[in-house]
Amino acid sequence: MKKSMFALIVLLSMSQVFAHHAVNSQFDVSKNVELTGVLTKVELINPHSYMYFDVTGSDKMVVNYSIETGAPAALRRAGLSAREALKVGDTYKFVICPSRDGSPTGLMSSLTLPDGRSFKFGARNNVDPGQDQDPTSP
Amino acid sequence: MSLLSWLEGLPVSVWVAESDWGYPLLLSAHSMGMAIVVGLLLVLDLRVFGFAAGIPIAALDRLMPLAWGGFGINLLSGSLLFASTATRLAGNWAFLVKMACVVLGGLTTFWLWHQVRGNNMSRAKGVALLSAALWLSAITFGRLIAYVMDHAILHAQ
Repeated sequence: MKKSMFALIVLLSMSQVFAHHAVNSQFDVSKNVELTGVLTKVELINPHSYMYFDVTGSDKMVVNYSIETGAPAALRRAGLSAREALKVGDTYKFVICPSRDGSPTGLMSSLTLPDGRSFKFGARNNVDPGQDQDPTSP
Repeated sequence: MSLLSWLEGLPVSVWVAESDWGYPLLLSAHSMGMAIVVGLLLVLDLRVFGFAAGIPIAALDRLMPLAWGGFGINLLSGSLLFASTATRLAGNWAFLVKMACVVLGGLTTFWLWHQVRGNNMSRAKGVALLSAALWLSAITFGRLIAYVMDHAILHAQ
């Protein structure tokens, strides 16, 4: 009885754990959604960084989105110096692969700074298929 | 500002988090240190179980300085990796379980040597089993840290 309870707890916690990192199960990588939001927080950490944006919907409701993106070094390789370029309070346009569960989360495909400079990241970007990245490149 | 965010803001922590090589090299060193310390302690556990019975257990004592070396590599690399992500790791249940396994694994290893030196071999076998379980759990929960972190961040709101 004790053993089966323990196994149940382990299984339940595992199903939560593995909800993520199969990126394709968490995010719909076949879709891209373009959003505009006010940056509220940046976490430059490994193995993934996070950016948070307040996005105002068509119903005027403000929803805070948590967007997963690359490790800090990966952002820099994409040309983005996150510390200098990202300012809390500024408004950014960004494209995400949306969450499958409808939560305000996503995997960042591209980010456009207020000055118009734009950066593409590893996630597939189907908004502009002409510039789709080679899926075999790292 | 909390102690954790102060730690995370130190120049060395920012270097680990944001440089090209800081994080990947430290994480690699952490894996190597882990291989050394857990590898050697598993050899000890297995020998106490009865594998490779021709090797005197006391001879394995000479390998313990190497295990301490592996532990030292991981204490240093682990502290730097922690500093780079302190605020997120402090609330990560997989990280906390892993650290508990490491502390208990270390204490269990001392206990194992105590039983072996007292020639209390039937008790020692039980302690060796516990030791192996704790060290292998430490590796497993260590591996889960990143997955738990992503899940916690994305479902925080």
